[in-house]
Amino acid sequence: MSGTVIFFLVLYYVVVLAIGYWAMKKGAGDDLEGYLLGGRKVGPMATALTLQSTSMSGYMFLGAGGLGYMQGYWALWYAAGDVGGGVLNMSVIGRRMRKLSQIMGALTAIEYLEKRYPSPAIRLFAGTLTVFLLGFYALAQFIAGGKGMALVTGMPYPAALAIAVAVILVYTFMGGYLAVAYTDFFQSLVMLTGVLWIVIACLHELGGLTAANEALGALDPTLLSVWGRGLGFQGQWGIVAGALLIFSVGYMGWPHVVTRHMAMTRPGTARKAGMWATLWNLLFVPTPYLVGILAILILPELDDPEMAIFEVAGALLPAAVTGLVMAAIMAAIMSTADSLLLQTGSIAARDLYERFINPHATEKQMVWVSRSLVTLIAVVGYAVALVEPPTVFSIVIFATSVLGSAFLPAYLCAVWWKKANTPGALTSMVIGALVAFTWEYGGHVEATRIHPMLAGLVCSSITMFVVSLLTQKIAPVPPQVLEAMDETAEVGPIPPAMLAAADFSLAPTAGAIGRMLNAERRDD
Amino acid sequence: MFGLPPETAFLVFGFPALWVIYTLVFLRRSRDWENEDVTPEDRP
Repeated sequence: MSGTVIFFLVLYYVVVLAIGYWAMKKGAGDDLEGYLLGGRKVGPMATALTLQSTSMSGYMFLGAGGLGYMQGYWALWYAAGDVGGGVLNMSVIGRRMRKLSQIMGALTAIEYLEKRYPSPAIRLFAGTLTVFLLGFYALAQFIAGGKGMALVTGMPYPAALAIAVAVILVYTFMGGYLAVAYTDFFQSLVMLTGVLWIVIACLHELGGLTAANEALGALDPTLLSVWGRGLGFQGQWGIVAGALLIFSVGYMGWPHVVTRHMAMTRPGTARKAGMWATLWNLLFVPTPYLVGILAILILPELDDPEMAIFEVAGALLPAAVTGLVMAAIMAAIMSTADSLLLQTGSIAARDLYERFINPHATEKQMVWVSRSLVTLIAVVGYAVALVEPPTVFSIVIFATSVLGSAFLPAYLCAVWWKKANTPGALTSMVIGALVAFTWEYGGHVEATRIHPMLAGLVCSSITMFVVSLLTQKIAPVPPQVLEAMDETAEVGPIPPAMLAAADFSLAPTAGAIGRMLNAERRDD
Repeated sequence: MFGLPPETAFLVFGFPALWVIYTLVFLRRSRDWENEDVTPEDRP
């Protein structure tokens, strides 16, 4: 690796750490709301870009590029839904979730579910499932980081993986939502610059998009079709629908993403955040898929398709720009990994440990649980990534399918359907997760040609409606929840009386934890 | 368009165009969300 590439990578790390440190100090409030939600003071542009960069992950540089390389333009089905994922999220649940979470005093996406659907079982199941899936999702980021680092440095994969995991861990331990949000903001701009630069270099190399497509057509006309290489997906609308849904409506079921709604400055922030999300997505989302497609012409003999974007960057760009592109790739990986690990640690400490194991947990114990779990995920992730690394694409599609299938109806109905009750939400989550899981690993995708996301989502949605309606009499939605939903439907500030009446019984604990975290940082 | 079959061109350019239209409609229909951007004390 040239000195220039190293310089850009080191510069990138220094800037990210500096922003993280500044934001950590700025956002170090006196309570847990400051730590977990940045004090609910994240503006529209930062909200949009942290939402998008968290959602995108290393998948965009490995999975998306690899899919484009293997299947040609068929891969764009995933991008077609993804472009609208941000604005759909903001327009459908953004404003209402922000408002309802504040009225109910919820600080994590899982706590929010328990307060809307009052039952410890909701929190136990949702918390456990989320910790497992987000931990699994983080594994994909480790593999992506390790593969990328190995390629650009020439180091052996185990050593490169260890460095990638260590960097992500240190970065995450800086802690705090505001630090994550503002570094995500910076990283999303780096990602955009990097990916645009590389696609421009590809198009320049191939003589423009039309010439590239003509060359692809001459090589294999099916690469230009919407049905994949060799028309392998012809007529498989169940797969196409899943590809469209997973990164559009699917976002609304991802706890680490919907947390962004809860942290907005005000509910109305969702409006401009939706606009920024669309602008960023239009430029960023289709590009990695396109680079993967163009890589078929530039590097036709790749052993590992998921390395297409890395390899193209190395082949076409000067060292300085390669450094920038590598920084962009690491930005995509880290901006997702830090959010995943922060959410996983927070949910494990607050929604599982404090809620079910040790209700009188001290501040030190909470921090210990959070950091221990994050470290455990890193160690297990390292071992799995080393012994038998699955493809980044398969991990991301699996984790996001199960998350979306399990939680989408619960989050959506939480703000839109007053009859959605606890039994409906719980069974919907269980059925959605089970169906998506068994669909993927029970061989049903090949048999039915239906995407696991589509199968899981249909089943969880039907379950939510049927069970909620059947159990209205035995498990009615509590009056205080209905009142909060009525207020949420109104556009306007929350009446002070309603905020005062809300359950803030966790505030003293939250304050103590916040002070503890701040004291730890000062000690460091 | 750009050497692509019509249905592929729609996939590449049509879907993003639909999302742009969706965003514009959303911005227009949510103009009253600015009412959220006042503090509770300012509420009439």
